[in-house]
Amino acid sequence: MVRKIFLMFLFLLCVAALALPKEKLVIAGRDGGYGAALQIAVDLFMERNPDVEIELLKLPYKGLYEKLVIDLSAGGGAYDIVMLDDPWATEFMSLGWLAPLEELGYTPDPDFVPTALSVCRYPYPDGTLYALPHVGNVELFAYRKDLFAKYGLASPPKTWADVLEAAAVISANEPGVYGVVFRGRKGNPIVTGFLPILWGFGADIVKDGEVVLNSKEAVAALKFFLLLKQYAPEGVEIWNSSEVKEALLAGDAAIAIEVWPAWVPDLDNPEKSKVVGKVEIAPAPGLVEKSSPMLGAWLLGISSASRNKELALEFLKFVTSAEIQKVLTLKAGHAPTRVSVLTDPEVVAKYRWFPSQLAALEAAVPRPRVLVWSEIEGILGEYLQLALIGELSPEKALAEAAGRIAEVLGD
Amino acid sequence: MNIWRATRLAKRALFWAVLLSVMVFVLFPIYWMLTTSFKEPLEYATRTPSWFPHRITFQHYREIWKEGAYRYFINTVLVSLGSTLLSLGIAFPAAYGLARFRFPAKLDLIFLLWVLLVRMAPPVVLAIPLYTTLQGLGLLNKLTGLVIAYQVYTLPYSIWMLLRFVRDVPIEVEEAAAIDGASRLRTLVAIVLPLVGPGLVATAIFAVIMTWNEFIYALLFLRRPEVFTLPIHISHFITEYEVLWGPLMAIGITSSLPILILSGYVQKHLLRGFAISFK
Repeated sequence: MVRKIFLMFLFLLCVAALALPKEKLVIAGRDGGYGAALQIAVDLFMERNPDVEIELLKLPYKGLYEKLVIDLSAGGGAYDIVMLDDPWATEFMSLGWLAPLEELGYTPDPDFVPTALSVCRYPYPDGTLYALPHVGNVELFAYRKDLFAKYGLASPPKTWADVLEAAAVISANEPGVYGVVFRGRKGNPIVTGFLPILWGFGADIVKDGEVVLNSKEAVAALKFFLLLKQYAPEGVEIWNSSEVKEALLAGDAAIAIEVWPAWVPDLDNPEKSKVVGKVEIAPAPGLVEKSSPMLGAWLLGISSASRNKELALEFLKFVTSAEIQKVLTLKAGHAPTRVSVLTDPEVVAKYRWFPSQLAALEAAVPRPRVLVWSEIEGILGEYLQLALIGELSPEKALAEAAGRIAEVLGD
Repeated sequence: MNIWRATRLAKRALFWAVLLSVMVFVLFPIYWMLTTSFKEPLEYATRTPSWFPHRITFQHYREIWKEGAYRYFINTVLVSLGSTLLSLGIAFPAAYGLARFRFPAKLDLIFLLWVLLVRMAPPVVLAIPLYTTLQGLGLLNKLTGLVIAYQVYTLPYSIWMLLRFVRDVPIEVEEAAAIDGASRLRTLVAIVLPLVGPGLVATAIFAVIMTWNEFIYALLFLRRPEVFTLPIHISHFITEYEVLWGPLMAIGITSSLPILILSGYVQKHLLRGFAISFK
C-alpha cells in the first residue's frame, strides 16, 4: 500500500515536471570579476522567474573569441547570449551572427552613455542595434594628486603638454618616483596606451576605410610619446598591466596614462595599496582634440541561432537595467553603462572617481570599426615599439606601419 | 700517433660541448618553470631575475589545488587514455588487415595515403565540420566527443606505426598457427598481438603525449568549465590584465610531470620496438 502511494506520488511528480518545463538560457560569459558580477544578475533573474534556468559559462579571455566564432559561424546555437569585446562587434554584427534587437521589439532608452551604445550598432554609429552595452570599460588616466599639489602642477592636467611638464618636474625632484608609467609591450598594450595620445593630437589610424596614420599630427603624437618616455622607468618597453599596476600601488609612479575600471578600486584598498586616497582618476587629457580615451566596452548580444530569443532579450533588458546595474556596481565593482547609475549618489559615495569615469566614457573613442582590427593592432604595436626603442624614427615607423595597414585593409 | 690522439680528444670535447649546449637549451625552460613556481609573487616581478627563490613558497601549488586543478587533471587523463585506447582498438585490426590481405585496385595504398592526408592537414581545417557533426550527435561539450575528435590526431598515426610492426611479424609464424588449426581471430589474439606488444606500447605512449597537450579542439568543443582539460585550464592564468606567473608555472610543472615520466619509458620501449626480432 505504502509502495503504491509512493509510486503514485512519483508519477504525479513526473507529470508535474513535464507540465512545467523550465526554459533554459546558456550565456557565454567571462571569468573573474566580470563573471562574478554577471552571476549576481543571473541569480536575481532566476529568483524572480522561477521557471527559467540560466547556465552561465565563465570562460577565460584567451580563447573566448575562437569559441564564440566557431559556434556563431556554424550557427550551432550552443549559446543564447554571448558576451563580446567591442572590437569583435563589427565582425559579429556584419556577418549576421547576432540577432537584431529592434526586430525583437526592443528600443533602447536614452539613459545609456551614447558612446557605449553606438558600438552596439552596425553600421557604426547609428545602424541596427545588435547588442547592449554591459560593462562600461574605458581607459582612465591616473595621477598622484599629493605630488601634483606639492609642486603646484595643474590638477587635473588638461592637456598632454601639462602631463609632460608634470612628469619632468616630479622626475627631477622626487627620487625613486617615476614621472610616468605606461605599457610599452609590443602589440595590444602599447597601442592601447598610445591611442589617447594619437587621438588627442588630432590624428587617427583609419578614416572612412582609408589609412590616415601617415600624417604630421600622428608623427607629432609619436614624438610626444618618445619625450614622455624619458621620464618612464628603464625597461618600460616590456611593461604590461601588472607592472603599471604594481608601480602605482607601491607609490613608485606619479602618472599612469592608462588604468582600467576593473582594478582602479585596488588603489584605495589599504591591503594592496600604499597610496590610499592619493591617486586621482581623470579622463585622458586632450591637446588639439578634446580628451579622447579609448573605449573598451563589453557587450551582450543574442546569438542568431538561439531558440529562445524572447527570453534572452528579457534577460538582456534585466541585466542592463538601472536597478540591476546599480546592484552589480555596489556589490561587485561592475563598470556601469548608464548615466543614472554612474551619477547615483550612493554609487558615487562608494566609488569617488565615477564622475571622471562618466566623463571619460562620454568622451570615449572606439577603436576603428573595421573587420581587421586585430591585424592592424598587431602591425601598429610592432612599429610603435620599434620607435620606442629607437630603432626607427617616428616618421619612418608610422610610414611603414601605414603601408602595411593599407595592405591589410586592401585584402 | 699524437695527432690521432689530439683529434680524438678534440672530437670528444666537441661532442660534450654540443651535448651540453643542447641540454641547456632543453632543460633551462624546465628549470625556470620549477624555480618560478616556488618564488613569491614579488620576487618574480622584480626587474633583476633571481636564479633561486629567496624564500621557497608553496602558495602557488596550494592555489592551483584549491582552484580544483585535479578535476582538469582527471579530465585530461580520461580523454588521453580514452582516445589512445580507441585508436589502438581500431588501428590494430586495420593495420593487420592492410598488411595481410590483398585489396583490388590498390585500395589499401589509397586508403593509407588518405589517412596520411588527414593527419597532415592542419587540425583547424577539420574543426568546423567536426563541430557540427559532434553537435548533431549531441557529443559537443562532452569528453566522449573529444575522444572521438582526437582520432584525427591519433588514428592515422597509430595505423601507420602499427602497420610497420605487423609487417615485421614473419608470416611463417601465422602459417604454423593455421596448420595447427587456429582460426584467424585466434591467431591474431594469441600470436600476432603478443609479438607486436612493444609496438603497441610505443604507439600508445606517443598517442597519449599527442592528446595530453592538445589545445585547439579542447578549446572549441568544450564549453563547460567542469569538462575542461588541463591545457584549457592553464590558459586562464593569462588574463587580459596580467599573467599570473606563479600559478602558471606551478600548473605547468604539475601537468608536464606525467609526460616527463612517460617519456622515460618511451626511450626504453622505442628501442625495444625498433629492435623487434623473432626467433
